Amino acid sequence: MFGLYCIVTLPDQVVLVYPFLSGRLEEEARTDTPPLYRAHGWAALLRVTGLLQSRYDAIDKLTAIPTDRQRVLKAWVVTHPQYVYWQGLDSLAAPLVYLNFNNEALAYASLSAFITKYLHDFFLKDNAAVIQEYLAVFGLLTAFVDPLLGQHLTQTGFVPELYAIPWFLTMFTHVFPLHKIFHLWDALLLEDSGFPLCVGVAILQQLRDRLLQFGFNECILLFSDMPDINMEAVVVESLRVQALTPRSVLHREHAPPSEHSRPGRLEGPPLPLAELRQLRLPRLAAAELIEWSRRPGPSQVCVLDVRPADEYPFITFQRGCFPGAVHAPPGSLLTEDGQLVPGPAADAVRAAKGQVMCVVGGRNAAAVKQTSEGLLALGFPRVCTLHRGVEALREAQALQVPSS
Amino acid sequence: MSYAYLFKYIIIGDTGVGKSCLLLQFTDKRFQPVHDLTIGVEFGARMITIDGKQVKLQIWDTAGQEAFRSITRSYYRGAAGALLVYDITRRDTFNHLTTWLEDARQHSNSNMVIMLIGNKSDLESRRDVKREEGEAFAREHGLIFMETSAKTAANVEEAFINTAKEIYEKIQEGVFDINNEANGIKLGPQHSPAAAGGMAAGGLGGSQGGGCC
Repeated sequence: MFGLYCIVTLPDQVVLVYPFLSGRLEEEARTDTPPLYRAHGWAALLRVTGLLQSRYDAIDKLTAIPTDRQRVLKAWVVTHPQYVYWQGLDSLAAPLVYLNFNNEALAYASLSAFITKYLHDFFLKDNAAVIQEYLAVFGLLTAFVDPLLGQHLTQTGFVPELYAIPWFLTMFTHVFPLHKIFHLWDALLLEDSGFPLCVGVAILQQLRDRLLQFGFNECILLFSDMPDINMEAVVVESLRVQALTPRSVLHREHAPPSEHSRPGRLEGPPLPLAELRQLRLPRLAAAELIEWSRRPGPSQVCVLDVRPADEYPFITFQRGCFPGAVHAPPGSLLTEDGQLVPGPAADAVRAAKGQVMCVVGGRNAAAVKQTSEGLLALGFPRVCTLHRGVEALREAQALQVPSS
Repeated sequence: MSYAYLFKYIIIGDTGVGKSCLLLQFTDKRFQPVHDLTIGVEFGARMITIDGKQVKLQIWDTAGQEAFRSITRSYYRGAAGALLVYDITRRDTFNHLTTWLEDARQHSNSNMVIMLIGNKSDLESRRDVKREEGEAFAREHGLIFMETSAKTAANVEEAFINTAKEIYEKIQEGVFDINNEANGIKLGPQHSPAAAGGMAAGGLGGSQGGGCC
């Protein structure tokens, strides 16, 4: 990793530059981050660059303000007038201040870059919409990855608002000791702002056996005094969760602008927060469904088309369905009490268990909800619904008329 | 350990008034001069005895910082009791009580028992709010009042336990519907409403010792 960045020291200046292609840096960091180089390695991953010292020196850190803080925190607050100091910002700064104990300018620059990348708008004075969206997506991801645990937590009333705010607002620094944070952030800094959601799910999964046995009272007390967590296992599991999860499942309207153009964004007008919070399962973007279905190797997605027969391609002029889709109109897959109806649709679904199971609907939103939530209740993992339904596939010209 | 009743409490008030320290003193009988700031909500629990019955207090300790207000409001729902805390050495925390009270009344059930706590009574030399002022505010708004010190533990037991007694009395008077969990009261697993009235042993008891459950 060392050698991939340089620190140029001029009189009164520290300039961080990267003489090599940044891709090399990520590659090296993925293998290992030697503690000795962590401070600069992290700064490089965060693309911290430029005349850090003079920029930092120019910030007024001495004039008293009502919420006075340590210098690095104060510098951040002063230079980000659109944001406010939130309890937890101190925890968030701790790893960076610790690593850069003799280089406040670098600590400040790294903190600024970190917040821009991972906590965009979390420190708005009224950040309720940002945090609530984040927690709602976290709940959806939990149900997607681990349906049994996700449903248990929902039914118990142990909702993310009760335990996960300090996790995400401080990127876990409020809940774990520094040495574990170093290990976690080594991995986190290589990923984008959706990755912490995967970390959250990995933590829940490590405590899974206990959580499944616990009721509400035990759950809140368990997390008030965070049990010992094997961080190495969490990192491995987080990366696995991320690899198994289409990007659109992690879609957030409040994602940082730098991520807006990435694949996996759900197009169209945003779902109001109240409706997002009503969802039990995440949505998948048509473009991603198409991309995943074309991946080489064993099939990774199973599409369930729940349009009733009169909307289905054989009869109406709205012709076509997604290649390989299982036709599962209401009543054909699930009974009234939520059991699988023996038949071809059930066989196909059973055979595809573990794949991304994407429920596609037409005009009838209730059928999508009933089928997807029915599969969730039966413990099928990775269930999602197609964002904007069959129309999105039609626009993408991904519908085919069955040959028969 | 089994309990006859479970009461949900919420602790509210400005940042730095000592909410988390009060909780820690009550559940663990210790004081931590430098306490981590609360983010969102944290929880504590302790068993006490009232009227010979085991009562479990489930305490929600909320972040005092104003920025958290819109999130902490959702925590009020289903609380049977609230400790509204200010710092006797900081007048601004006393001046903000009205806002806190409005918030609490608006987002909780109307029978919630609210106790007003003037904390840090050990810092007499730095006192900025007279005891009489706290008493007057409490009288005016129908609250119970007490000055406490999370540091010396003065009145901490009493604050939590008196609130519990008040809730318990309201149950006896039939003000609280104990079968509706939205009131912040839950019957213990082995205590049907019929069983809960029996075997009274001694009057209003004090603490059942520290530790949570």
